[in-house]
Amino acid sequence: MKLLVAIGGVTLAIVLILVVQSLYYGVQKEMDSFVHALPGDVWIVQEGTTDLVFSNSHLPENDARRIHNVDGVGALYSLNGRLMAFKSDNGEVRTYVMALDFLGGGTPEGTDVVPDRDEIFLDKTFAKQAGLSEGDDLSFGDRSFKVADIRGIGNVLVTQFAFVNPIDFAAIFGTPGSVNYYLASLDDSASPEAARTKLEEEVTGSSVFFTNDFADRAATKSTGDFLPIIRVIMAIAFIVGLAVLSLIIYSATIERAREYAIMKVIGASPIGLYRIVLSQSIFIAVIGFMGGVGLAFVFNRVAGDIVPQFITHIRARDIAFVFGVTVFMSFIASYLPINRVARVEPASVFRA
Amino acid sequence: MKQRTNGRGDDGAILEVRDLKRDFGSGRAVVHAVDGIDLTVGRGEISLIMGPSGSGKTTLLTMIGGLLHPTSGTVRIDGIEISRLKESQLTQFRRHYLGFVFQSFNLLEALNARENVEAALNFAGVRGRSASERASRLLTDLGMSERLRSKPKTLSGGERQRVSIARALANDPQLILADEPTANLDSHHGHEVVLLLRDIAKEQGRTVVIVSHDHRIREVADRVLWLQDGRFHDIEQITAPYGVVAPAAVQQPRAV
Repeated sequence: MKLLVAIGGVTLAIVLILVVQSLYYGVQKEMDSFVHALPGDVWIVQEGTTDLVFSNSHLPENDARRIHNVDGVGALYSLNGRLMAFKSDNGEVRTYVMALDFLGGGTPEGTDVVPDRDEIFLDKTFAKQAGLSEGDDLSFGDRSFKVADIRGIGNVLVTQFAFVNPIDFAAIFGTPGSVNYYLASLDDSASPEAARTKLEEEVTGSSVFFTNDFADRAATKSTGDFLPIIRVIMAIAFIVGLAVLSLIIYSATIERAREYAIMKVIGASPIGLYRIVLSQSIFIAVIGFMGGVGLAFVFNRVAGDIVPQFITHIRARDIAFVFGVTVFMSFIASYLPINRVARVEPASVFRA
Repeated sequence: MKQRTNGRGDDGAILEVRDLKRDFGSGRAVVHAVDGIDLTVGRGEISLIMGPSGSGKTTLLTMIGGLLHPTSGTVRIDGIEISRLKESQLTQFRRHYLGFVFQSFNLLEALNARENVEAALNFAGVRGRSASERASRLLTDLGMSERLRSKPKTLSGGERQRVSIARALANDPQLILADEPTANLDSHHGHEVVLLLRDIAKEQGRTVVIVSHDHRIREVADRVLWLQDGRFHDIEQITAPYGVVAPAAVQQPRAV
C-alpha cells in the first residue's frame, strides 16, 4: 500500500510537469502547423512584421508582378487575414478570418483552404466553442456565410483561424491595393537563398522568410505574450513536481528505516543497503513516471474535450528529458537518507 | 551440522563474556545497563536469561549479537572477540555465526515466507535456486511447507515466529539469540516455539541464548540466569555445563 502511495505521488508529479509542458509546446506546434499547411516556400511580409496575430503586414498589391519576375519563383499566392466578429444563432463570435488567393505561376496548391463563394471553413476548436456545426450560418453585416467544413485549421489559444473565399474576403474586408502576405513557391532548380535575397531587393520594405523560419517566428511571436506566462507556470510545475517527487522518495526511504535495520541484523552490508535503497527508489520513480506519462495523455485528451482551447503536445524529447530528471532526482532523493539508513542502529529492531 | 572451532582446542564453550559493561548517559545521569557480566555458554546449551523490565537483558543480548558496542569487557564467540571487530567484519560475522529470533518477528512485510528466509541467504552470498531450495527446506522442516508463499500479514503469530526461526537458521549459525520469542504468542504457539528452540539446541547442537519473561521456557533451559540491575543475581543450573544433567539446581553469586 505504501509503495502504491509513493508510486501514485510520483505519477501525479509527472502529470503536473508533463501537462504544463505540453500546453507550452501545444501552442507553439499549432501555429507552426498552420504556417506549414499553407502553400509556398517563402513568406514575403512587410518589414517589421512579427507574426500572424499580433501585427499587421501590408504590402502593395502591384508587387505581385515584381515577385513573379524574380528568377526561381513559381506559384504565387496572396494571403489576407483579419480578426473579425460574426453574428451566429449563439450570439457574437470572434475568429481570425483568412483568404488564400492563387495569383498564377505554376500549379496552384492549398485549394483545401479555399471555400466556394459564401462559404466558410472553421477551425474545430472555434466551432465547438461557438456551438457551430456544418450548415450553420454566420453573418457579417448583410453577408451570410454557410459553415461548409469544420476541421483542425489552426488554434493558437488566443484565437482560431477560419477561411473564406478570396473574392468574399475582398468584398467585405479587403483593403484595395493591399495584400497582407505573399507566399511564393520556388522552382526546384532555383537557389533558395539567392531567390530570397532577390525578393527582398525587389519588394521594397519587405522581409522574406523561408517557411520554416517564418513558422518558428510566428510560433514564438504570435504567442509571445502568453508563452512566457506558461513558461513561468511550467517552471513552477517543474519545481513543485520535482520537490514532490523528491519528498515522496525521501520519506518512503526513511519510513522503511526499521526494515533496513532488520536487513542489517540479518547480514546486509552498508553497500548492500545502498543498493537496495537506490534500486527501490528508482523502481518507484520509473513506475511512477510510466504511470504519469500515461495519465498525462489521458488528462490532456479529457481536458481538450472539455475545454477546446486547451491544446497540448507531448513531445518524445520532453518525455525523455523528464524521465532523465526523474531518475536523477530519485537518485538524489534516496542518496540523502542513505547515510541515515546506513547509520540505522540495528539494535533498534529488538524494540517491539 | 557445520562445526567450527576456535583453534585453541574445543573446550565446548561457544560463548564467553567477560566483565561486560554498558553504560548509557554520562556524569551523574549515567545508567549502568549491564554492569560487569561474566558468562560462558557451551555448545548445544540453552541459556535462559530472565529478569524484570529494565534489568539489562536486551542490552546484554544485543552486545552478544554484536549489535551494540560494550563500554568495556569482551564478548568471544567461537574464539573470536567480536567487540574488536570493525562494522564490516561484524556484518560478515553476524551472517555466518549468529541467528536472531525477535519478539515482534521482524519479518520483511513485502516478502513472502520463503523470500524472508532467502533474504538472509542472499546477504550471505547464497543466491538463486540453491537459496530458494534451502529456504524451502528449512521452512518445511519447521512445518511451514504449505505457507511458503504466504506474506507475513497472512500468517499467524506462531507461523511468523517459525519463519523468523527458519531465517535465523538460514546460514547455519552456531549461536541463536532469541529476544522474548514467545511474548507475542498464545500459550499453544508459545509452547511450539519453545519446543522448536529445544530441538535446535539438542538435535542440531546449536547454542541458544534466550531472553524472556516466559517461565515456560524454563522447562527446556539448561540454565536460568536472573538478571537484575545489570548483574546476574541468581543462576539456576538445571543441567551440568555442556549438557550433562546436574543432580540439583545450584545457586551462584554472579558469574558462571
